[in-house]
Parts: sequence; C-alpha cells; structure tokens
Amino acid sequence: MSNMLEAKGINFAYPSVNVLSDVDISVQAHESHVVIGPNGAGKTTLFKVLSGEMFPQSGKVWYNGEDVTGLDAWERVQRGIGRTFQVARLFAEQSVLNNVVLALECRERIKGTSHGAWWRLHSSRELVDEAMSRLAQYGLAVRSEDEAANLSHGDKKRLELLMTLALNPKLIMLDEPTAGMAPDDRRSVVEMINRLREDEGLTLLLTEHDMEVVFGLATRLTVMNQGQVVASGDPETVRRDPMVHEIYFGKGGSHA
Amino acid sequence: MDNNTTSFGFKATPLIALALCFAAFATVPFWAEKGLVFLAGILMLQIVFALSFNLIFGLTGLVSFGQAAFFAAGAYASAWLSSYAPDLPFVLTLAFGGLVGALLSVLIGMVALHRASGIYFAILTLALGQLIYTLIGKSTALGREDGLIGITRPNLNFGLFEIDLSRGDDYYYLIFVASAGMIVSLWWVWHGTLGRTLSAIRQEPERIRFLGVNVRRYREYAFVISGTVTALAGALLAPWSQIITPMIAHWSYSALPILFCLLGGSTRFWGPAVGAIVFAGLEHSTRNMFGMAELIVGGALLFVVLAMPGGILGTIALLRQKILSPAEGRPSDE
Amino acid sequence: MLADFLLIAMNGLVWAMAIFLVASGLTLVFGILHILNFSHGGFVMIGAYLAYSIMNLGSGAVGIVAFLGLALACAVTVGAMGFVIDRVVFKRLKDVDDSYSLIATYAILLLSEGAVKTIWGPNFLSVYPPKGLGGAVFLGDFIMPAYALFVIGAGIAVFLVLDFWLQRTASGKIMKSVALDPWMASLLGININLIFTVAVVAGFALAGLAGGVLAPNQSLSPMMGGTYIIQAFGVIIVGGIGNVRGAFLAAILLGLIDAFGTVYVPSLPGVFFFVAVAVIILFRPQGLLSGVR
Repeated sequence: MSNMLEAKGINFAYPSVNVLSDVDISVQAHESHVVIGPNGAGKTTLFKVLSGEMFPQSGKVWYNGEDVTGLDAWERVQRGIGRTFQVARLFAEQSVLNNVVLALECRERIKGTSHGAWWRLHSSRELVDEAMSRLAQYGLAVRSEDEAANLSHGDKKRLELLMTLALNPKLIMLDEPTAGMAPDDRRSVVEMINRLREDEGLTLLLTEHDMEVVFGLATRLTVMNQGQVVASGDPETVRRDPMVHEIYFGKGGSHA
Repeated sequence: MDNNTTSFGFKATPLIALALCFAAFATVPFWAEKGLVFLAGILMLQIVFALSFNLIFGLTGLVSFGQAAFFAAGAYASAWLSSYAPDLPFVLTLAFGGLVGALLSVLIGMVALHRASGIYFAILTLALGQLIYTLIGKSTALGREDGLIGITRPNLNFGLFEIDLSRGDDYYYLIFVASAGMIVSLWWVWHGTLGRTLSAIRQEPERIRFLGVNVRRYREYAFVISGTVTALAGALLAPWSQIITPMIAHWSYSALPILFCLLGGSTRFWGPAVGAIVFAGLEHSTRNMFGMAELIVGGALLFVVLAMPGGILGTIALLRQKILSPAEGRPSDE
Repeated sequence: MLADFLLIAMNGLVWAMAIFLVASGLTLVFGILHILNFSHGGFVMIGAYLAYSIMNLGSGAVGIVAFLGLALACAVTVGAMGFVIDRVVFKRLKDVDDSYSLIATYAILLLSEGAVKTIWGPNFLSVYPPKGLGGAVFLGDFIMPAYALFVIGAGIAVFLVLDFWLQRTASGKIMKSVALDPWMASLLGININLIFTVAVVAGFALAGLAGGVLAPNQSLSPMMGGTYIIQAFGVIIVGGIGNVRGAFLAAILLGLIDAFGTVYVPSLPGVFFFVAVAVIILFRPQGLLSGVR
C-alpha cells in the first residue's frame, strides 16, 4: 500500500502557544485512520494544516506524492481531498436540495462542464436529479425542501458529508463525525463510514472521541498528546501500548 | 390548493409594483416638469449604482465604503474623453468609462481583498476611495476642485439615421433603456449560478472553500462586475448633469448605496431600488431645510439598522407571512 | 537644510498628535467593544463647536489654564452624550456584525452633522488659540507657532496618561481583560456591562477633549467631523485596531510620511497618507501592533 497523504515535521504555533511540534503522520490508501487524543492535543489544528485551512510554520505535506504544503484548501479539494467540520457548516438560508445542487455545481465547475457555467440562470435538470437521488440514498429526500438551518443536528452532519461526497473525493477528513449524536445515530454513521471505505474505496482520516466509534471503524490509530504524536499503529497494538494507556485510556478507564 | 389561490394576489403584487415603476419612469417626460425629469434621470442611475453595489454588499457580504470611486471614475473618464476627442462615437466614450471603472476595481479589489476582510476591508476601501477622490481633486486635466463643466450630450450615429441626444428628452430615454439593460444583467448575475455561489460565500465561506471554490477569486469577480456597472452608471450621468465635481468620488457618496440597500432590504434583489426611490422622496421633500437632510437620513438609517434589519422589503415580507399563515409561531399541528 | 528638515518633521508631528488625539478614543472603544465608531469624528466636531460657544460667552481668547478647563468641560459634556448613545445605540449593537455597527455609527455621524448645521449654521467659524500661545517660539534656527507645540504636548500627554492607565493601573488591567475575553471576565465576577459603559464614556470624553484642544487648529465647519474620522481610521488601522500604542506610532509614521511627501511632491497634498495606509495594510493586514495595549 502506498501513502496517500503524508506529513513530516509539522510545527504550528500561535503567537504564544505551541500547538503542533514535529508531527509526522501518513495515511495509506483505503485505510480508515483515526486520530485520537485528549482535548487540546492538537487534533483539529493538525486537520486544519492537512486540509490547507492553515499553513504550518515548518514541515511538509504530500498528497499522492505531490508537495501540497503551499496549496490552499480549495486547491487540495480540487485534487480530491474532502473535509467536514465538528459543527456542520451548511448554507443555512438555502433548502437542503439547493445545498447539494450547489456542491454538485462546484464539482462541475472544477471539471469545466457547462453544468456549472456562471451564465446559467437555473441549475441543470440533471444536477437536480442527481442531487435528489443522492439525498434519497441518505434518507434526506423527504427534507429536500426544508431550509438547512431547520435540520436536526444529526441530519446537518449527514447533509454536510453528502455535500463533501458530491465532489467525488478520494480522501475525506471527518472531524468528529458523531459529536453530539445519540447512540443509534452513531451506529448508523459508523456503518455509513465503513460502507464508504469498503464499497466505494474511499480513504478516511478522522478524529473521534467516542471509543466505541473509534474501534468500530479504525484500521489504524494515531494517538496525540500535547501537540505530539505518541503512538501510531493498528488499533489493537496501540490499545495495549502502556504509555497510551496512561495518558489517554488511563483517564476514563471504562473503555480500556 | 386553496392556499395557492389566496396567495396568488400576493405573489402578483411585486410584479404589478415593478410594472408600475417601469411605466412611471417611462412616462415621466410626458407628465412632469423639467426639474422632475432631471431628478428621475438621476434616480435611475442611482438605482443602477445601488443595485450594482449590492452585488458585493447584500449578496457577497462585503461592506465597501469606496464604491463612489468607480462611479466617479466612469463619469470622469467618459467626460474627459468626450471633451478630448469630441468626434468619437458616444458608445465608445461610454465603454471607456466602463473600462476605466473595471481596471480601477481590479486594482482596488486586489489590494482590499488581499487577506483583508470584515472591518479591515471596509476601511481599506474607504481609504482607497478617498485616495481617488484626492487625486481627482488635484488633477488639472479633470478640473481640480471645480470639476468638469459644460459636458455635451452626444449624437448617436447609427449610419442610416442619427439621434441627437441634446434635443428634448432623448437623452432621458437613453438613460432609461441603458439602465433597464444593466438592471436585467445584474438580475441575471444575482439569480444565476454565479449569484448563488456568491451568496454561499456570504453564508458560509469555509464550506464553499471546501467545495473547491477559490473564495477570494469569486469576491474579486463580484467586486469587478459591481465596479464596472457602477462606472457605466457614472459614465451615463456626466452628459445628463453636464457638470461633475469631485463630490461624486467623496466617501459620503459611497455611503449612499449602503443607505439605499439597507433601507430597501439588502438581501433582496429589488431592495436597493426601493431604498433609492424612498430616499429620493425623503430628500426631495426636505430639500429646502438646511441640516434637515442629515438629520432625516441619519435617523432613518439608524432606525433601519437597529429596528428593521430586513429593510422595507424584508418588513413587507414578514407582514405578508403573518397574514398568510397566522398560525406561525404557535405550535404547529404536524 | 537641517532646519528645513526639522521644520517639516515638526509639521508632521503636529498633524500626528492632532490625529492621535482624535484616534485614541476611537481605538480604545474598538479595543473593548469591537464597535468601530464612525461618529467619533462628529463628536470631536461637537466638542470644538462647544469650545467656540463657551468662549464666546466671555470675551473670546482665554488664558492657558482657562483653555484647558474649557477643553475638560467639552470632554465632560461629550462624555455625557456618549453615555446616552451607549444606552440607546451601542447596547443594541452587541450581537451585530462589525460592519453593521460601522453603518449604524455612520448614521450617528450624519445626525451629528445635521445637529451642528442646525445649531451653528453652515459658515466657517474660528476659535482663537489661548492667550500666551498665540505667538511663535524660536527653537534654534526655526520658528514654530506656540499653539502647534501645545498640540504636540497635548497629544503626548494624552498618550502617556492612557498608556499608564491601561498598563499600570488595576482598572486599566480589568479593561484589557474584558477586551480579551468578556466571557471569562464575567466569570471572574467583573461587571462587564459597567466596563463597556466606562469604555464608551471614556472614548467619547476623549473625542470631546480632542475637540476642545483642537478647536483653534483649523476653522470649524460641519465637514470637520468627516475629515478627522477618515484620517483617524487610517491611523488606527495602520496601528492595529484597538491598540493605543499602535495608534500613537502609526500617527507619527503617517504624519511624517505625509509631511515629507507633500513637501517633495507639492502638487499632491494628502495623497501620500492614503498611499501609505494602503501599502502598509497590504503588507501587514493586522497593522503594526495587534491586541489591546
């Protein structure tokens, strides 16, 4: 297996605090790589650096062998990296359907087809149909005319994932996909994510707090603490690592 | 179904209002005195000014305090060219005004949108606009502080026939047709794919960035389209008022479209037009009272920002919603 | 040659301190409340017109002490206006986007211009410098109007007092902590609403003080507020919005750039200021200094 996304020697500091020091991480194709660690360990900052939302003070990021360190988020997205946020970011004033259509139009614009051309007054029929069928796939078709702002928390996250997938990414980064969800909802999200990997061949990079979710979908685990990577490997090995035990599992105890 | 028939009257109202406005502007020279015809011409150009400004303000979500720079650039560039080369076809003079406005908006957009957003963008556009104002006021070719006077209304030469726009109300109708054309273009941009993307940028810039959109580039598109149309409106103004002074580049003139947009409702396409018309009425009725204009404009603006965030159209829509679905707000019977 | 150079620099400094007097209250209010108060210039103008009216109650020009007292009276009066505006307007702008507060305060600027026009009329008015500052002072080879030196002194004094207050006193430190994290400050038992009110009143009082001190600096007209606020905006954005020290540095920097620019390219007065603002912000969008200082 080859490294799809790789980062070496990442340092990131705000004016007074060091958030990431010398972080290395690699994501291989078709794996489901989960980054865990206590609050403030630097997981979200690492996500921001890997997705191009922010730029590190030093270190490099490669995607499929290409140096993407200096590329902005939108350029990395055009190369096939998708990303969702801890709190779903949607076009709140638009209908659910229009949210998806907008995402599809962005995809068409990247491809350069006339479906996304700026002079179009109405969205193309084909894109609307595709959006509807994608919504149906995720059980959101009934809400298609509702304003996105009125969706439930779980549905908002689902819609955001759907919009990210609309661009047909190769790698998606999910920041706490089950945060704030009820246990039933969590299980369905885990199933959905596993399907994405197994059936559609997607590569996943996630952060997650809930240990049931983590061990339900991780094929590789990286543990962070205070801005550093403490351990990385297959979930079982990492779970038995005594140091990890101490700094992470040792605290809650119940899942260890 | 029942609901549809009752709401039909409401749905048709905006169209009727639009048609009435159109008819009113089309017939002004037939029923109004000269002074009012002149004001109506200015008002149409101010409507275009405000609608084009709202592309960056209400749609894209950027507060620019320097829009007057583009209006003045268009007016001065075309007026200067028409006096420098009087034999040039009028269409070229107009286009020159638009071109200068476009170039200027590319330049200012590049500086102001470079990492700056929110309040920094507002002040930076303000400072750059004032720079243009100062430059115009100091430039001899543009008449320094006195401005350009005696700008002539042109002939339109179509080869087979000629329209002398200096006669009668012909130039009024040129403004009318040109404004209508620009408004249709702006309407298209606002409602089309581009407009939806710009609106998405205002609502959630991070999401649209992670859909592979270069947000800064799109903000620049909006800025340049807006600046160009504003400049064209300015270019049309010069031969109409026949005198232009640096005041049309001053920052207080940049504040006008902001006022129109907020007064009428900046999230709706027609909001700024409503704002401009209402404001023109207010201004006309207080024109003889010194100091009153500022008090009324300031008071109205403050009231709208604090108490009527949707502007006139937003408030009407809210009232309409209350009439149509009085159950709103109570627990619904799902 | 050197004398010319120094004279130009001194002129730049006079401008710089005049604008700093205006900008200090503006940047303070933004630092604490995140409201960029467009109407600040309008209240500097009101302060200046008040000074004019108070002086004309008596015989015109007054002594230095009386002049300072008069400027303080302007500060108190305008500070009181600030209290009212805080209650009526600013309290409602808490949850509004920065840019919208800018528009709301622009409306107040219009109101203040309308009020000045209605009360004092459209004509240019002039205020005499205080007795004893009407003449000129010989400094080695060159001559400065005594009043210009007074403006420089006033600017430096206001800066030192503000800086001492924010850096060294307990109330100043509380102020800064509210600016950094109002939520945290309220958890620590600080009455943040009171702090906000204090900041607004202090900001407006500074505007009134600036108006009083600067009344003889130029003729008074209803356009004065707008002119001052634009320059003050330039100064605080270059200094880093909310940062008093930054505003002080930026005022000096921009004052010198504009003074020298105008001397060497006399056909374009006032242009260098805007060019400098644009260039500096292009390379340092956050301004020279950031954070509340």
